[in-house]
Amino acid sequence: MARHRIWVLALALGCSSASVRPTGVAGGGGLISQAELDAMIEASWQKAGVTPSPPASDGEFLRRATLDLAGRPPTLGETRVFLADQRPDKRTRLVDRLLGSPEFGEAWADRYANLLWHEQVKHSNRDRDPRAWLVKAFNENVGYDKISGVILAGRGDVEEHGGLTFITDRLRAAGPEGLTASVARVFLGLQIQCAQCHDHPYDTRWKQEDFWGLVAYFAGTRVRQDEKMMGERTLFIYDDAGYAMMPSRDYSSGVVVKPRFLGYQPRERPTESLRRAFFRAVVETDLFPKAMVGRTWSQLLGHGLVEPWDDLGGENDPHHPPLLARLSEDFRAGGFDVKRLVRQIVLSTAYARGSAPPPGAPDDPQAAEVAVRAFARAGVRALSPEQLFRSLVVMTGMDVRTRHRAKDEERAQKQLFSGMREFRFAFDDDEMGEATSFDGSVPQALMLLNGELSNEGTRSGADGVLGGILRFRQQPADRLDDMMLATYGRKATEREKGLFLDRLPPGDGPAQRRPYENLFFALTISTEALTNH
Amino acid sequence: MNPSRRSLIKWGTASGLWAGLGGTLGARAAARDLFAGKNPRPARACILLYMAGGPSQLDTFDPKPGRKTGGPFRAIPSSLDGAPISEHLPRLATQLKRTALIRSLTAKEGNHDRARHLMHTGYAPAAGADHPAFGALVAEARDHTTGGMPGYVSIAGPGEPAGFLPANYGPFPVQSPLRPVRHLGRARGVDQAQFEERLALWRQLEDGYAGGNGGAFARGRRAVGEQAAELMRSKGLDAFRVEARNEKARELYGKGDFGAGCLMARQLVEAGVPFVEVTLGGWDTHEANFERVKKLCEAMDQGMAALLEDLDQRGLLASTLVLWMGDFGRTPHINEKAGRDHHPECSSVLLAGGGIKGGQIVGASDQDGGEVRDRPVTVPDLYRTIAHVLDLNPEKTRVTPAGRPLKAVDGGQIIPGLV
Repeated sequence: MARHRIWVLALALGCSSASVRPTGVAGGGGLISQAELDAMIEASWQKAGVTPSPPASDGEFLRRATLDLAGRPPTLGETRVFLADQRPDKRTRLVDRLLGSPEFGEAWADRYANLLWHEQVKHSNRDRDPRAWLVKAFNENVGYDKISGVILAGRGDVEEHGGLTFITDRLRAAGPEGLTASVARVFLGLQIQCAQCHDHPYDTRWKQEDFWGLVAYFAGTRVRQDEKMMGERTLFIYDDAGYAMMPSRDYSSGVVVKPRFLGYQPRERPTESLRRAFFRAVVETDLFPKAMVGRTWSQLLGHGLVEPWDDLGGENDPHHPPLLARLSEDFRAGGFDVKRLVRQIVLSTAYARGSAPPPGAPDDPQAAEVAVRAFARAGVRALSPEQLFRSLVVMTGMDVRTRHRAKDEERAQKQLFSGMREFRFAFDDDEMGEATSFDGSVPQALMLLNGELSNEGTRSGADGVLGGILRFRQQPADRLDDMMLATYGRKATEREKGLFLDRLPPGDGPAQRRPYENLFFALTISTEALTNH
Repeated sequence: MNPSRRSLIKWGTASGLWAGLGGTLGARAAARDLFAGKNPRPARACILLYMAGGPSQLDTFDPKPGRKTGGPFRAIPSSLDGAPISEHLPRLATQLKRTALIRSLTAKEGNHDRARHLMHTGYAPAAGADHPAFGALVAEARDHTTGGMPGYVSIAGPGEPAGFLPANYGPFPVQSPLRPVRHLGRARGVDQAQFEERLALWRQLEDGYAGGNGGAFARGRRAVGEQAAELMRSKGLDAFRVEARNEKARELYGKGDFGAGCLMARQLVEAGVPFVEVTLGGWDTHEANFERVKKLCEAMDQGMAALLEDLDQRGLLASTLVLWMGDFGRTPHINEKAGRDHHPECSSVLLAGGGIKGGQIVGASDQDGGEVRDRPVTVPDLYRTIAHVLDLNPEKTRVTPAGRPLKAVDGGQIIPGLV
């Protein structure tokens, strides 16, 4: 049923005319203020006819923002401090602290590494992880255009510029056609890969030649493997002149297609490579900021302003909401500043919504879905494998414990990294996806039920989170609240007190600890603990 | 490359429409057309022996001794009339009468990843179309009849994902048949009573969240968690162990990974798993083809011959389709490193059991084994035939998340005389 709906939606989206502006720089709307942004969001609620949910509680906001910007939930200590903080601007302070923390680069590198070089991430070892390049780029906030320039048009030694891995990885795995499809998706928000074999079936804008015109930019991209000193191997990227061979439907013959950027030929500069010319053309389009803004919005709010974010259709598609256009203009005017974009969205009134229905409104699933899709109510979002791993580690205190036991930081990091790898394998089933499917699979559920992290982590040993709670809190009710704070970022509800309190004895001998361990285990593997909401 | 399978699932499960549909009712209505209803005695299960890397047809089932590019191996007669095979497959030579040997499979994908996709899904890869593995289609159709066991198990190899089908129909991985499968048993120090208590607490939490803001998300996760717990309780769980269980069977199948994998496959089929894949890797012999193929043949010969023999003795062969294939064939040309390179144009495939009419050769290659000379068979032909054997509906159409309708099998025709 749901699939059918998508099909209909796709048909509906596909009936407008082609558009990528031939030259020139996109509309000059300039910067947008936070108040202006909120006014636009409120206008969109009105237009959709939805009543916004009341704002999220401090605990909800802290947990949500920390998961999004630091890639992990807040610790029990951070939650206590934030809840006790009385300053009126504490949310802004929190967001600025998170954006300034090195964890921001780590969290965003996780996302982008999955988006850009999925296979590499899965198989890389820690010493040769191209992700380090992304961590630095995001933490130093070098600008999305600069990042994209290295990824798309960079040359030279792949190990010195991890960003080049995108080209080498995609070329090796999928050839120039697969690389082109990935580039169009990530940097232009276009799904034109169907045009690889035939004119696009329902989006009449894209002809087969458009796709192959893009392929031609990468057809001359070469990757050379050199032996370095000490027998170490390294990859170099360089460019040859390129043209693509567009096959006929039965692959029996082909037509030569020259580089052509979605219907027009960008001015050539004799000294620059084809990929450089391609990159210049990409940045000039409105699609470049729109794809990034749409993806970031979707990442932070759970779904896109245009859904999905990578099916923008065309530059001036009438289905693009004003919000997307306006934020994209701001993104360009602000110099493609990623942290600024993230800050705007996280401090917006949409991101601040709570997950409960508005008071007095009926709480049926249909109404909830409509409100969530209009960004008037917070929905439930899946965690990435990395967020999931870090959540279990932070909730249980396994990081502290690993450091204790390993006795040196290097070894502790190694152990944590190998734990992360196991999660990437188990929780990641899709090429180039950014969030894992939520219901998950049986092996994933088994890993949570019987795996080391959840089972060892929820023991009440002295160096774990539960051990600390039992040592410092004497009353079962306080202990229950702390366990809920550590896992859900909120205190126990009346229902939960009724269900659990009479099982939880005072005291902390071995016999008294067991019921706490059981409940803490159940809490850490439950949906409320392992989703963002 | 599929952006929206996930978002679709998220959307699908999160939407009230889907949740309101009532899981079982919808599933049952959908399940009816998964079967073709054209095979009165369909096979119950399929075991795919997958030769990753691309096995040389010339040095296994389609030898060309005496030709310049035939290589050094002799050909020996087999129990299948007119089908001499490599001298390094003596056990299979006695079993070959049970099989249908296709010597004329032809395809166009010469890159490993693309060919793997084609051979596992029956579709050439196309960006944006996230084809499910055929094993996942079988898992979907045979869901609820596996006694809590997974529908698709992949031993010693990754298998191929469920594509746009629910992840749960994808391969349940057994990394090595000689090591215990991770996380199938309770964690150290957790006894049965404690495990059950934890599950009960977890259910209360999930129900609470499902009734609050967690909705369909919490319900979906709870269902999968219950499936995991059901698998842990399943009677068939022992089938995941081959170590030290049956010394005689271990001897018969061979003690390496592939032999143990074949043995585990037989056990899993007995325990109710409808699709098992066993991978034997290492066939990408661009260098030292003959040494390496000889070694690979030892493991393959013993494991596969034992599997056919054992299934037959247990009366399971009639209801179990055994399939042997790989990425592609290899070139007649022997390169300067004594290797053979990728060659999708002509390769061999074996089918046995499950109602397949054995004792026949289908098609033929030319004198050097590089071109199909007679009765070309395409991958869709092969899958159409397999679908018939398992009684799956090849015309069952699903709409991909990208909005494209896809049939279970990409055209093709049932290979004449095989079923």
